[in-house]
Amino acid sequence: MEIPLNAQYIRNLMMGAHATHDHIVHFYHLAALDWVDIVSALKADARATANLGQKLSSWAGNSYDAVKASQERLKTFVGSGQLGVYGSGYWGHPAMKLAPEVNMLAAHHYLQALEQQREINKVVAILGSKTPHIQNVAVGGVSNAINLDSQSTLNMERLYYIKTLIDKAGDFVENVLLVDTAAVAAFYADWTGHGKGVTDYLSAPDMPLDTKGTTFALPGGYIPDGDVSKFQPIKSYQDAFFKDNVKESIKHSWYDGDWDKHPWDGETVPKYTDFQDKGKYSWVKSPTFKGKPAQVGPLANVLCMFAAGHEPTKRYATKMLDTISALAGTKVGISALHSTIGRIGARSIRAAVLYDTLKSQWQLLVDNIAKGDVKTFNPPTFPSGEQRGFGFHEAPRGILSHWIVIKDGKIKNYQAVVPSTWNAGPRNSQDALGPYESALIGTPVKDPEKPLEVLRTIHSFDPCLACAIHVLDKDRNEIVKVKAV
Amino acid sequence: MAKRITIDPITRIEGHLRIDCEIDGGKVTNAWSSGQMWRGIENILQGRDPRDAWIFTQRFCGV
Amino acid sequence: MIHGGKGFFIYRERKRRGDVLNIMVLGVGSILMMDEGIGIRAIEELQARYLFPENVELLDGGTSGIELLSYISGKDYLIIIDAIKGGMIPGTVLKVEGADVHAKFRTRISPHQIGISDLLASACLTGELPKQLVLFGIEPKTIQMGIGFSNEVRARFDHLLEVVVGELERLGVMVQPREHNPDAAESIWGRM
Repeated sequence: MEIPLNAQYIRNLMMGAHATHDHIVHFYHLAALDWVDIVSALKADARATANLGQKLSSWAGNSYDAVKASQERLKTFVGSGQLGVYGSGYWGHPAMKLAPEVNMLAAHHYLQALEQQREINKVVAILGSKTPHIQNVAVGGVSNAINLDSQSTLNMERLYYIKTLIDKAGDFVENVLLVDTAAVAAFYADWTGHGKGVTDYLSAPDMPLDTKGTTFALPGGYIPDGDVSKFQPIKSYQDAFFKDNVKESIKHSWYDGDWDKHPWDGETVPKYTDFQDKGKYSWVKSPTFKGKPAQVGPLANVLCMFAAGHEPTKRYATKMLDTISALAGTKVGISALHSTIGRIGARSIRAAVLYDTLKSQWQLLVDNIAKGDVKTFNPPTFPSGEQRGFGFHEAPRGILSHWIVIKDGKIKNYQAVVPSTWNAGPRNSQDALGPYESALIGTPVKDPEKPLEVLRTIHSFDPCLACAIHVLDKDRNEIVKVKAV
Repeated sequence: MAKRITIDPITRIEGHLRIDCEIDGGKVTNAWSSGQMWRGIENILQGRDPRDAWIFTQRFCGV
Repeated sequence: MIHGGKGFFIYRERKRRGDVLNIMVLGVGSILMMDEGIGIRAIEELQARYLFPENVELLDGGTSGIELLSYISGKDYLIIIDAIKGGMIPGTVLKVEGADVHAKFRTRISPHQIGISDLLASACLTGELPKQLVLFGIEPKTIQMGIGFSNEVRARFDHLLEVVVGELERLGVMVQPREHNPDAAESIWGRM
């Protein structure tokens, strides 16, 4: 099965744009509130905040007027008593350490990020017909028609609009996101020592550059023991190194039995018990690579790309580490990335790498169309009998693999091993802790009633549901008028 | 003495993450991650045309 | 069939000024969680059964959150359709209005509702929150992995659609039934 080049490039552009959107949203709208105190930001001096912003970056949006306008907007918002919607906010918590001006600068960019995230997502909407829930993917390619002379298909005008959107997002990622995460990392440098957890890293190569999926713009693979010199690449969509080493364990999951099985042979027979500390306690299975848990996500991806000598990754990782070192006044090396703050920093490095990749994928698509190639689809054929297949992708939260068994043209078994399963999985059959669990060990908690530090580490993984880790406030019974109609 | 905390957003509904920690001497000493996310997906897909699988799988919440 | 009510007067006032009321009907939920999918199926069915004028946009929002900000931006009237747990008998069609809509989404009853809460909060911050907000839904019976509705919800689904259409008509929108098309492709999500 070969996928036409145009289809690969179009898929790559959508994946890259979606991930950029996702990484921006994760930092500003999910993780940042664990580190940035919005209430403190209201006390900041707007002039000093703008000066700080201009010192850190050449971003055009850091003017005094812009900062002042953001602060006024925040004051109105907080004044209207609506801050409660950010249920995760631990305003005034002793672990919040940023100066009011730093808090204000981050809050200012939080508001600007609301604008930015939707701009880059337009790329997904244009190519995917709509978002959410794109419509253009097909087994064998994509359904986009390309005709440079037509108003109703993918044409030069659409392509140049996509280019504008990519450059706009890239400017924000390089000059705001990367700088802000470096600043948070520098001011919370002690967090480079917390949250290390599982240091066996797994990541998929992605952005295929040929029709068969044997060369990729972004490398991926496996790093055992946190040692980048032991990096082993995953080389193709058919690579047995990946295919043969994935298993899922259910010893501590609410499924019947105690086994390690390959996804093709996976079963899902529920067997709910109560929450048993030493027994079964989760609906998530526990995936393993070579028999051990693996951490997935942007940190795993960045470390693998770094180990593979990927030039843009090395450039942006160096830029971030240099910025952190300068702000913290001490040399910070790549080993600092094995941490809670490192996961956040790596996500920004990946967003910057994606900007380079989006630019090159756009150029490849335009050049290929210019050659006269407008093909976007090869019809698939399904051989009779039983067939087994798998596919993987480096999603915003890490490696995603889908495993399928087809019998006589119908699905017989389907298992998805998703990024949050790798990271949120419980203990495996060897009782080894999953990445979330392992990363929490040793995390300092100043006040067990307000476990902000626990949230920082869990949020650094970017859990699959933004809502998943807010502390339940059992007393908040808002009175809501619901009427039958 | 170790203190046990449970961070559980939603007690009545499937699909969310619960984190339990034991805290001793100001540090987390043990942890459990518990969630329900993917039960039954294969039940939905079994017997369907493989060309349609992506339409269903893209609705998995929050990959 | 135009009813009175506050919405209608807003509309009439705007119409007098030559301003058209921009309305969005946003269905949210997960199609893979049985009754949780009513918002999505409602959008599909409304589009299959009726024709709407240009000032009414229907959107399948899935389980998204602030990604939807650009879609609700510039709308005057936002109608959200979702499964609503209100402690009623399963199948009851429900309505929540105004500030109560925010509160309802903050009580986070299903996986995606924090997303919608974030969306509404973000829209407040950016000043893009539609002036009028109303939520329609059905009290669910079964929220678990699966395709299709429970019997209780299925029985009241048409009533939900009528209520939403009624709300649009109250705003002065001309909702036109489509001619029945027996050849129309069946939804991939199967029969309800």
